[in-house]
Amino acid sequence: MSKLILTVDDSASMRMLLKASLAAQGFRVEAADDGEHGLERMHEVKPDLLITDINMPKMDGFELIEAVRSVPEFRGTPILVLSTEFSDEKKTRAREAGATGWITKPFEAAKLGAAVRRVCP
Amino acid sequence: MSDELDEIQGIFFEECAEGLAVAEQGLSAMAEGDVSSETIAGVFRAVHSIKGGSGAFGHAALLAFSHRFENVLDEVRAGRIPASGEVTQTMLGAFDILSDHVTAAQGGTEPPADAVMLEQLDAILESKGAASQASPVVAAPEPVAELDDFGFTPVAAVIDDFDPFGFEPVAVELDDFASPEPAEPAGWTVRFGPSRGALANGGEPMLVIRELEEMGAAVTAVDTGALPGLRDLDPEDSYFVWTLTLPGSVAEQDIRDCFDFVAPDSLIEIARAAAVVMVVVEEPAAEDFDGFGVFEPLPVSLPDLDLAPAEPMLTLVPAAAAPAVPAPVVQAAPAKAAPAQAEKPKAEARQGSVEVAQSIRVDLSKLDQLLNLVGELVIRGSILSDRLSPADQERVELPELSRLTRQIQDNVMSLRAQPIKQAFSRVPRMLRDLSAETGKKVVLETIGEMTEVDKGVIEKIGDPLTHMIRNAVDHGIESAEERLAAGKPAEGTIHLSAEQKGARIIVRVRDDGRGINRERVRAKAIERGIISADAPISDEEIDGLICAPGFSTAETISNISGRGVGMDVVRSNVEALGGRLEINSVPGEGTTFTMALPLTLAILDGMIVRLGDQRFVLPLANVIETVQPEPGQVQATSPSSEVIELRGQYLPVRRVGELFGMRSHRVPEDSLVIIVESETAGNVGLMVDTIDNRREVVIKSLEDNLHPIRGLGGATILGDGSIALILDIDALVAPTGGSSKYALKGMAA
Amino acid sequence: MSTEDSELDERKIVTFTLGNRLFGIDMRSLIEIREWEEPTPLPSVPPYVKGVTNLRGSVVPVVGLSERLGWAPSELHSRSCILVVTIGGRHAGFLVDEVQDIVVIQGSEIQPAPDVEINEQGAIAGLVKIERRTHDAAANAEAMCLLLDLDALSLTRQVPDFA
Repeated sequence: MSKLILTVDDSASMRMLLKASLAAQGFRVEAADDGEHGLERMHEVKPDLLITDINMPKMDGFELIEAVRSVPEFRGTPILVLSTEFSDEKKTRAREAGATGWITKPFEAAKLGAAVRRVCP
Repeated sequence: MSDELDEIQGIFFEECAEGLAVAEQGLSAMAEGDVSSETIAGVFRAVHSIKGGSGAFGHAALLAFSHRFENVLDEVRAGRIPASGEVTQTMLGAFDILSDHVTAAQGGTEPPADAVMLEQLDAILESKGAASQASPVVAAPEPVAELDDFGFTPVAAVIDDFDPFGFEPVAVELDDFASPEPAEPAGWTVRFGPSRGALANGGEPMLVIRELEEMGAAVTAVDTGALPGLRDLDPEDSYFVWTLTLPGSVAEQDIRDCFDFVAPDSLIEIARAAAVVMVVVEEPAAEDFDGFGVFEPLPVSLPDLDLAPAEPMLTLVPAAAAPAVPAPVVQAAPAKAAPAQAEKPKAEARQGSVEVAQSIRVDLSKLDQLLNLVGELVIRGSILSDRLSPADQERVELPELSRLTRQIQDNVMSLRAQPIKQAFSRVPRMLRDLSAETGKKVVLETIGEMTEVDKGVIEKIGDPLTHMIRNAVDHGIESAEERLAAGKPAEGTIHLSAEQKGARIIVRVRDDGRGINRERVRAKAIERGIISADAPISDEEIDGLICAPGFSTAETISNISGRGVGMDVVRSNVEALGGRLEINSVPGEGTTFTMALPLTLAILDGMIVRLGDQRFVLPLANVIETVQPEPGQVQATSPSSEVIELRGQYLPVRRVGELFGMRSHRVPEDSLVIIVESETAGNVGLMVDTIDNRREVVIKSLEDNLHPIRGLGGATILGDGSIALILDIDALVAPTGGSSKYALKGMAA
Repeated sequence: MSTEDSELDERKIVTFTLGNRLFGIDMRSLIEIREWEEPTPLPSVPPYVKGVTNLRGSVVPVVGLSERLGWAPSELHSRSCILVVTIGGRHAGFLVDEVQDIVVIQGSEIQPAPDVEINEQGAIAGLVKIERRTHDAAANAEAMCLLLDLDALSLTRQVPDFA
């Protein structure tokens, strides 16, 4: 069965774009619209990879990552941050929170796919 | 795919419109002095989202502008640039340009001229001054379409001084590295020693090696020297250093890309036969990573290869310095960085030479003031009219004056009014999301989205509306199979409508789902102690229970509606607006939520009626006719209820004095019955003492200084300065057992 | 907000009576003092809300302060008046028996209110001793003045069910 990816982004267009790009490359995709919902969905769908935005209302990406990492079951789940931000400060924070990697928006579908396969072959 | 992309793009522009609205609201608040961090963060996020999407959809001009705008906002958000009036004004100007950019991107037209504004934004950034802080700005150039690792892009640079602020030396050594590739592409040697951190956070170094192998790499050596004795072995740590060789034809960037997600404190060396590049990026802040000597920033040693090593290059970036030394600066503009920064402080913040504006911004409170004054004018006008003899009233000047007054008023009102479409526009997108989440197919039908409502109301109905829609999809609409089995079309339908009725805006959310499961609601209410098990309770009361505090079936039924708010919050939100929420459900056919909202401040065509010595205003929109009952035309059907016979029909009659619990009110013999139509109880007769006259009144809200009172739509000030209460007919005549006893709180007195 | 400015130690208070008790509110909250005039009664409000009145074009509730604080309703007489105050940007009128004086007190003189027997928790911000002027200057005497915390008397807080 193909890998299941959970995407968390408050922008519907971004979610749909991610879904379209990833589905076209053979991934199954689930989506959530903010950190809180993302955490719920983690437990429900137990994805092979989590891709999350940083700037979101309610629970932001950092908090989501921390919350996910605090669940033993998800300690080894790769987490990619997908954000327009690219400051080292933010990246360090994401890393400290437990993110596996960082992808800067906007993304190209092919590069996104490559990045995803890099952590979730 | 392209259809799909168009659709997604459409949603993106909807989001842009929303983002712009949020940004505008926030910037206006900032201009009014609200520079709270939430406000600024809200504006930042809005612009940030626009930027994010614009890149994804290839709107380069929009991306470039929103990016620069965001930089300024980011600095303001971080407190590095004060949110002064001047800065805010510039940002308001930038907002206008941003709107134009969005419009241009959407229409595929020429992007607006933004050079002047960009200069102004840059001037703000530069005015921040301090060279050490300027770097993130300079670093801004193009993050575009690049997969990035954790920032510490393997840049070769020698920093011999770890002082977090002393990064000038960076530029010096870079030239050496500017053209690392010899003419003949020699083979690559790659050394990879994943750190402990590379195994944490879901990382898997083996995947990196596999990817390199796919590009033609071969592992030539594995250094296991760091492997401790079995007793000290930590299964979560990494002890190996792999050496791989790759063909020289592979691009360096492709190799680097493989290490995108490898923890930055890992050992990664990439070298051609002629040169060696070694990068050890250390994060001293994370003590965990300091476990072994292997990862000390050693000078390069490649024992297996006979190379003529160039000067080894290290980048040591202490974590503390990381924010101040962003890799992109070093990469993008090494030599220029210093002079560029030296020049910038000279550039004076430009005077606000913004291009000719098509609109001006007005403080909302000034509009309110104006509206109040016009309201007074209307009142004075009607007093004047009252005091004149009928003959004088007919004079042409007076009707002309009131016509003009009314026109001014309409105009002022329209300044605050906006189509409710703004609140409705997020619904389609939300429904799509909900459909995706629940698997239920839902069609949306919208009526009356051009109905104009006061800006304040629009801002506040968003949340209740969202929740009602969620509720409808979640609890109302059945699955396709269930619907087909019930003889309904597989797709559910949600009707969303808005209309103005008298002084109220009626917003309805109607679904054609299964209706409220009354058995279940009742059971739940009993379980939660909201009603007692033997309480006699009508169907309508049961429906009303879903808005009772402490009642929420949501969390148990699904995670969609269950997030955060229950219907009780929706109801109290609506009531806080001076509105009313009603629920009508027919099992098997669907549920309708009706929000009746006030037009905040408005003119009402009213009928002034009298009860005892108190006067009330009845909205003319509700009045059908006035009846002077013949003896026997009004009859009691029970000690507390009466009907009036009207052309063979019996209509219920309510005594307004009793509805309001006016103790001393004695009903005169020659009372009048005014037949009104209501949303809640159909046609009803209201018994009043007399009718004074008909006139326009200015609605003053009660909640400005008190709280909303059910049954009242507000108050007005009459010509003599006294106050008359405005009746809210729908709430007033709602059957006592009606929408719910909760909704009727207070009215039973 | 009104009674906790510790760096501004000196403050002006308006004193008034309810029955035989002396009360004070911060001068800065006072908008105007007006003669009693029967307000327009409202349905569905607690008994202490006497109704609404027209204050320069806006509709302002009038509150029987004595009842609001848990005592018997004030009886109306010729010196009854309404203190129009602002509470967090909203206006309200309080029916009081008689306005007494404007006095200057020191913040340090204010003592915390012991358990005063009052319906509304925290409506009394503190106690202060002031000189009470009477018609006969020789008979002036010290009296205890209860300082009201107007925020605690806000009317816009959604009132509980009065059905």
